[in-house]
Amino acid sequence: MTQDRTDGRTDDNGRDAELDALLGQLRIEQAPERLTRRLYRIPQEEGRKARRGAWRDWFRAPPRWMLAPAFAAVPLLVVTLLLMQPKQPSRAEVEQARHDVAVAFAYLDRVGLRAGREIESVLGEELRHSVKQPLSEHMPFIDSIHKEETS
Amino acid sequence: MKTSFIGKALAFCLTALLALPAVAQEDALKGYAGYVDFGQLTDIFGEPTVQISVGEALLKMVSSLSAEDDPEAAALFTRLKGVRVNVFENREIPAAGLDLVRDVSSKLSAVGWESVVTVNSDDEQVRIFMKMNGESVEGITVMAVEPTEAVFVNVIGNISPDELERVMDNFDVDIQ
Repeated sequence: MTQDRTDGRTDDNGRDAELDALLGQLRIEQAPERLTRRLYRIPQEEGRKARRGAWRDWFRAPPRWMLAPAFAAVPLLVVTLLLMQPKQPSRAEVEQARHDVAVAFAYLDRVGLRAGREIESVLGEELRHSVKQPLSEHMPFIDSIHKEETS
Repeated sequence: MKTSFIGKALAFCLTALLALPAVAQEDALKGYAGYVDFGQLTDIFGEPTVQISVGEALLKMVSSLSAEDDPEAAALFTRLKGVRVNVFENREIPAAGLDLVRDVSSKLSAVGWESVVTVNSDDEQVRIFMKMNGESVEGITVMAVEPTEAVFVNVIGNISPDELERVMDNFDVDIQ
């Protein structure tokens, strides 16, 4: 029994040596260049996918404290955007503006008229005074005629 | 406590946002040479009985609306940048009102406004100023203070007094 085992080991050793010799005779086959490139690309692509996944996870699950201001900011943003839009005035608003401008011009006109009247009355008085004064100095009867007319 | 603070903050933000267009319109007019800063009128006269502020965009719309009925007025409106009116009626006008007219008048004269009409009577102060740029008018300003009424008008843009008179004939407005 022991003899058999020893013989078996000797046979195995012989086969191993034979295999080694045969393997030694084999030359290393070069993989096609395209395949090599594809194989090298695999770890890079896997790394990229892993990184993208990390960003996606970050967006999917933001911290809870971030949600409150984010929800508050949304309506504010909407209102801001609505207010920023150039508003087209309605026909009623334009009519109102036309009336407002007319009122503004009416005030301009009224102030101008009043000022004109004031200037006219002052100028008239001054002119009357400046004409009457030298006349009454040289012709005293003019003053008495005027007094008679007024009485 | 925290909720009420957030509520207040939101209310403040919304109010500020809603006030933006009015402030923006007034600010846009401030850039023109024909604009006049009357100062704090409400501090002296109280709340105005008539307050008008029409900006350039609205005036353009008014112009296109008037094009058929009143081409002359439409042409005038296209040259206007803004119209501002503040009227304070039916109240006793304080002495500070007369001081304000004098202050604003001296400021306007200092920056090249021409005094067209000045009335200084016992109970009335009227000032009409025009801002000229060569042949064209950049603005007209009227300040009239009487014992029970104060009127402040600022028309920004190219407008001539005779043109105003012709346009006024077509407006049916009675302000007493």
